[in-house]
Amino acid sequence: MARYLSLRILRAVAIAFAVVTIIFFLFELIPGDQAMYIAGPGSTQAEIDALRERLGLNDPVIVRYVRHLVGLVQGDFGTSSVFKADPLSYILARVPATLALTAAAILLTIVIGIPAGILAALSHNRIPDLAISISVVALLAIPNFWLGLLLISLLSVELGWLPSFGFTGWASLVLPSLALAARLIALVARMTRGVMLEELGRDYVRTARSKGLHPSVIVIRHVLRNAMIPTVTVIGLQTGYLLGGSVVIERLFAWPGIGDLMINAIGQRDYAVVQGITLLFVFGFLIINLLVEVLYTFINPRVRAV
Amino acid sequence: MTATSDTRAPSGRSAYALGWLRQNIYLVLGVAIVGGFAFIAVFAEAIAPYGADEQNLLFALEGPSAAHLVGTDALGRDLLSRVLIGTRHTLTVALTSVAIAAMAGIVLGLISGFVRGWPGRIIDAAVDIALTIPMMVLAIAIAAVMGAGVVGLIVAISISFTPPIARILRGRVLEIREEDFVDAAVMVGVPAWKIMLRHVLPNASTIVVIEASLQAGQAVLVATALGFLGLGVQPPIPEWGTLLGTGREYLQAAPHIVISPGIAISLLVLGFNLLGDGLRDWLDPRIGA
Repeated sequence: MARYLSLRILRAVAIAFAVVTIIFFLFELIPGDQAMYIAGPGSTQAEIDALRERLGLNDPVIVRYVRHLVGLVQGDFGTSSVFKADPLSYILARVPATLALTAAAILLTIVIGIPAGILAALSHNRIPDLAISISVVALLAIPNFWLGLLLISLLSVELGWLPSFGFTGWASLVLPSLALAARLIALVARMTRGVMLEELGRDYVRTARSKGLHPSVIVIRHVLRNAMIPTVTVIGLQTGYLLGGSVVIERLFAWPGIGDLMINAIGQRDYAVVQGITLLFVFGFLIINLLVEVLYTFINPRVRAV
Repeated sequence: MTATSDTRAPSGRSAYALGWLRQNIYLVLGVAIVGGFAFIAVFAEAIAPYGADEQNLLFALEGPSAAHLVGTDALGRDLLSRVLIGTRHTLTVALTSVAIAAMAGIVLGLISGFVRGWPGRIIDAAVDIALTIPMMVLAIAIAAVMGAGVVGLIVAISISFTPPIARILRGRVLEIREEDFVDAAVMVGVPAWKIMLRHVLPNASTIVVIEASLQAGQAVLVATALGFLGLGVQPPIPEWGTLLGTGREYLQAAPHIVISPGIAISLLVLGFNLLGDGLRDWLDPRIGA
């Protein structure tokens, strides 16, 4: 177990290193003079030249790459052209909002998606099943930002029930997290329905029924436990979607997280911030995947043996 | 569709056709929806009642009427015409990106699955790494580097969609590599590239076709999301995501602006999803849900 875990952690570190390298060289492709953006409009050529020399932008690419790596390890994310400093503290200040948004989306997924899937499986081919299955197909086709626009238009502009702009209290969390979670809710409901139906047809269920166990006991104690394994996997794999989707949703709802900051930074050509947030998303995704794998070994003892 | 409305007792060949249509209803619906959008994309100018850029400020921000079936935008342009003509832009970006991703994915997947030793292992590791970058984040980062526009959008989507195809194809190629006919071809001295193209790829093509059609729906979602963020196709080109991005500013005064582009996106994605699911059920009953 310890050996398995340390191998996974080692692998995650190696991947993180590779991604840092890829992202560094991707951002090398940006045309234009970084020093000019950082110096800002109205600065003289001499000032720009001095800044470029001070930031070491004249050095060969390999020197800058190594400096970038050393900097990252020390928590140095480069120089932002907007904040005129290391952007890390500005980025980190916005992390809690993004974490709250994605956590709320995962919570909604579990609270809505899993019961919907169970309900569909237990009412196989009857009306609740059909209604849920049709909703799943629809939710998988609707873009999250359009769903968000519709929610704002109906619940915020028309009815005035919920806030839709920025953060003005916990009620602000409802619409963005719902728009972000919709696709995942559909995926989890479909997955739960599928594995539930499969499990309900197995021999152990027939045995439990024939010995007179109450159907609710069979479902809760036996079927659900087995059905949860693939569902947890789906939620884990889809956190990448949640992180990417949060950028669009944060923009739509002016949610003060790192996704909104990322799009602002792209507009202002502040590439240190864009690069830093991209890396943060990847690191976050790696850590979540690692946690899911650990969780997985706990729910599914079969993996531990391997 | 004509066959299902046929009320006469079907016999022989038509009974078979009817049964096939019923069994592959997803595929039929998917082909109909995607085919419909392809038709609109080609003949958009002829179908659209107005030009995409025809302005009439007297009728700005008007709701649905007989003259403008789904209303007008802030410059008095007919929204229906803009959505119809926009079909071409959204569909072109999605299909081009998926085609590029499929070709790149086929090359990488074939090599990483078939070639033993370091070339396969390096590609496999690279795909592993690429898969840890959330797709949307990668697409946004690439679009930021490339600058907004159609080319940047296509590069962003095709790069982020390549790794999943390579990974799925590799799995299938690993299976096929163990088949007897591959051993036979190796033994009689057929070169590796020829075995890959002539014998392995045709046997693995099903899975690529299914994955590509499911990805086309995803590509529509990513392309329109980037357009919505202002990182994709730029106004005044009436790409659907761009239409939603500009329409959002008038959400209070004219909420109808965001309705029709959103319906168009959802329908097209639904079409591609049904097409992918239908193809999977038809071509590969083993994986069927």
